[in-house]
Amino acid sequence: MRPCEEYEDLISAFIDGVLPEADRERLMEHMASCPACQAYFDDQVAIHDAFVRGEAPAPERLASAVMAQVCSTPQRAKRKPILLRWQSYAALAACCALVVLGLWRFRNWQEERKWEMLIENFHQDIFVTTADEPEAGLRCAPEAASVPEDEAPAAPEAYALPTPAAGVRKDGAEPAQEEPAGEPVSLFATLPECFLFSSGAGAWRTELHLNTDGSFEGEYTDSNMGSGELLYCNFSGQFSEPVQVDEFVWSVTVEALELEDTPGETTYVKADNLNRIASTPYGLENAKEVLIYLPGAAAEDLPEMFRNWTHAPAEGVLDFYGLYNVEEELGFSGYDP
Amino acid sequence: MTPDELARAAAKGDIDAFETLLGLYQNKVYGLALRMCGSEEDAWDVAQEAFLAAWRALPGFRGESGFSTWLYRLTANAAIDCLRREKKRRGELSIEGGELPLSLPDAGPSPQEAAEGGELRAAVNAALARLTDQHRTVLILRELQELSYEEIAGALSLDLGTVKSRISRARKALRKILLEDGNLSGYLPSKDTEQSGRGARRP
Repeated sequence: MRPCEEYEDLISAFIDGVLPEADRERLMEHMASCPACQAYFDDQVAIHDAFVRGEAPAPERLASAVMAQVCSTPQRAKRKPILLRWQSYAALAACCALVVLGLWRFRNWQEERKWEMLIENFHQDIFVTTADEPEAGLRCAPEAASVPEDEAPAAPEAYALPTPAAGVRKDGAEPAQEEPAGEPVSLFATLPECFLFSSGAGAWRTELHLNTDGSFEGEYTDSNMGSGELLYCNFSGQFSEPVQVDEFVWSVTVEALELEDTPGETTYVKADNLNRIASTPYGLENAKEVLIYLPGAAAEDLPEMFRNWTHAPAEGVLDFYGLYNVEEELGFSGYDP
Repeated sequence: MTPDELARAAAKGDIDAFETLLGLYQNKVYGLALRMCGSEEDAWDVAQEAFLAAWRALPGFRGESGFSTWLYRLTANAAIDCLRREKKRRGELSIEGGELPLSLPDAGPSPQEAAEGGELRAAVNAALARLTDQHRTVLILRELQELSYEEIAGALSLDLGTVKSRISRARKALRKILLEDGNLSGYLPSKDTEQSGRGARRP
């Protein structure tokens, strides 16, 4: 920091009335011998005084326009994000159970009725445990009832709050929404640990491991089958502090991206009779802004290329976490290892 | 009932409580939206979007930072979103460094204000629109909406240190624009002058 930059910060704090007494004395002392800072101070005070403060009155119709929509908009029920995962597992378990039971039934015709009853009971159990909680009460119930709830079942509503939900997944802890807030939880801590970029068909993939402080490491590999070559890139980097774009979208920039080996560097691995060729981090190449999509984002709002790469649904809502390299129009999908 | 009590009632679906909150905050929300977006049409949309988002998300509102801070955050996010859409529409790639095509609304100086430097007032207003979104947002929240550092930190999900330094950077950027346009009589110190912390007093 240049010497006077520090005093610019002090002047700013002084204007806002938050400069401690000791710093104030230091500032005044400095300004007495530094005309540049004295000029900076004078200008900033003049600018501060020139701001046109006061409220801009809202148009009269605003309140009625909002209330008309409120009456036809259901509130999101308070649900815990982790439920989504549990529900997915439950649904998966139900499917597996049905397949297994179906095979079993094929072999055990005589026990058919008994198993049907079991399946039915299992269905009921699943239904009961995963049923939606009732929506919060609405005074305008008739209109509300006609509006379909198109929200994600477990849209992480608390992400929109100053301190994201304590439903942190990484340490395996249960969400603790009812507990008093402690340190604000970083958005990163609520995201999956791994994001994958792949076509699903090729012999290549890029895996990105995200840390709770927004740093990441990853690896791109492309076996280029039959050629005796393996393209790879080990990389690490840092995302900036997330900025919320809307309810289900956050924006970060790639602040740092480092490659372990210089692209083009070739190492012959005798044991595998293979040339390992250092490459670039496919998926993050040229990345500047990266958008983070949360489950619940409306599919129609997602870029088409993101949906193509991640096989996200074209309608309804996103049901996984995604990263989108805006510059290159590439999409990663999140998963927990 | 306090705003936070009203928010808790509204979180349980109490529409009357929400309407009261709407009455309490509509000017602040609309004012922030107008100052950030620069057009009444966009401010109208953003204010509605923010209130509606608040209504929908209230059941999950945990209340650590207070309802108003939370509402400010929803408004600022909706406004930033609106600016992004606007810029995308105009074919700009990046949100940073872009200039708003519109000047910010000016409540208009009173005759006394005009006599006491209405020119600088108009210049500050115009220069504000030329800051980056990040700088403009933080200065609007601080100087025009008169939020405390803590409230700004809550509204923008930043830590206090970042708020403090960002406001300082924003003020510096604003002054630079005003100096370059000849709206301030001061001088820009040279790099060497700044580095040595010395310079000649301006005329």
